[in-house]
Amino acid sequence: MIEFHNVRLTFGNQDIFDHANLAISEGEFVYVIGETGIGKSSFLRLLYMDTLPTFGRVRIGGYDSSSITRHQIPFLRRTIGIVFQDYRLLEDRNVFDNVAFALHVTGARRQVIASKVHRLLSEVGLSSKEFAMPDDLSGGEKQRVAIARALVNDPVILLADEPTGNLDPTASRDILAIFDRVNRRGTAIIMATHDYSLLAQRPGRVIKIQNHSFYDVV
Amino acid sequence: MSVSYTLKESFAGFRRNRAASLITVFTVSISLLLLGVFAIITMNFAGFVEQIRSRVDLEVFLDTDINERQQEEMNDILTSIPGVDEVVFVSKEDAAKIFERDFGESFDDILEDNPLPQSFRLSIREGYTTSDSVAVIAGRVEKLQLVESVHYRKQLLELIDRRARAFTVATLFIGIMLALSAVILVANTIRLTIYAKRHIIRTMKLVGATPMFIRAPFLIEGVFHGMLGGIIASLLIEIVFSFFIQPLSEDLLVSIHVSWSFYALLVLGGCLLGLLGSLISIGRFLKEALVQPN
Repeated sequence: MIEFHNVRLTFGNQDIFDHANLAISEGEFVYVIGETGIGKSSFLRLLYMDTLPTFGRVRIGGYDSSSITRHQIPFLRRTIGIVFQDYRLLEDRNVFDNVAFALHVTGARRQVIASKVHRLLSEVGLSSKEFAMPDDLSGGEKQRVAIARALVNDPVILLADEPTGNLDPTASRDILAIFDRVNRRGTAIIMATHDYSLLAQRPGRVIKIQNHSFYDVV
Repeated sequence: MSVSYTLKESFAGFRRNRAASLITVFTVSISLLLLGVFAIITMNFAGFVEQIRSRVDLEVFLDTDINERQQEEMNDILTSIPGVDEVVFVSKEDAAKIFERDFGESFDDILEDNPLPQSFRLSIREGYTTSDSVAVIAGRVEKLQLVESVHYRKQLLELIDRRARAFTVATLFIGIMLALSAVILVANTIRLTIYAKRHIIRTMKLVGATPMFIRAPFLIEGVFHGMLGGIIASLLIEIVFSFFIQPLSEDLLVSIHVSWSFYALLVLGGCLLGLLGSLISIGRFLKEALVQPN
């Protein structure tokens, strides 16, 4: 489902990846670990094609970095859910509208949007907060809104960039529990993290970024 | 892309960012107000110059007294000259009355006889009132039989011509500068409001929104801001002209008016300013970096 073929990625004079190869199958639960600044976020950016490899190819689903067009990128992103450490909510609208936005971009009908958003908010435990503004939510709640938004289009892959980085241990456990439930339904989870305690709580495949390449940690 | 959602988002944008929206509307209003006032002054100046020119008459003095039949023949000849609008015969008696009115003294008190010649007063048709055109008409009249001399305010017409040419060049330059300033000012204000939303725009892109989906509400919001700005500028101009300029123009016997089509143009200009400003400003935030980072 995800393949890296001889990927090289450089920013300025700095090599992030060099001849990096990787394959991730459907439904996997993957942790991506490594030192700060080693390239965990860049790895995720390559997946949602916010950046393209300097050399080599990244394939995700039916999309290939060597042939993708500007027009296709939004459609690729609709098949991926993305969760960030800083939540990236639309600060100017309420919880319902934040989640609904991901459906509006697909042209979904109003009734479908309302039913899906309510279902997702219930799943992440935020039914009572649908009219709250992001500023009125705690960090854990904001992250659950971001997860609901990421899941509302039933993505095949959920990318999470340090999703528990700003959260306390209880909120982190809640987020991990949601990811676990989602993964059991068949959605692949790829989570970049430096919080190794999560690995013990919910075992999964661990990929370490080191020396500009990927290594499976057994 | 749902049209109703796009429209809803456009107006919600106004509500969500009231301060930024009001600043944009205010900027558009001020820009259009300056541009509008300038356009009115420029347009009315041309009419004002034409009014002054139309007041310049040709006085055609005859070298001998003529009878009624000759007067009619002369009248026909003068009327047939291109550019001549109206021909009025001034008899010796009429001339004496004019003299008495202008100088406060009658000939009867000073002289036994009226020495003033008979004359014709010619008014010039609109479009023939430049100094060159009037000189051509005067030349043709001077060649006629019975005409002794032709008098008109030649120097005044030449002065008006020179000043009007200088004014046209100056207004063209100032007009271009003002229009350019308005576009830059409005585009810059919109750019700042969109810059403040750059994180939101980035999030929208990451969620899978197409550039058109993101752009459309901003463009409609821009048009709405521009339209409001245009309406406010029109209202301000109408108030200023109704209460201050129009009474003044009546006192000065100069006609200054602003038509409804001008206001419509101002509102349309506001919409265009808002649309262009938004289009230019949002473009750079929507580009996908489909190039290698190095």
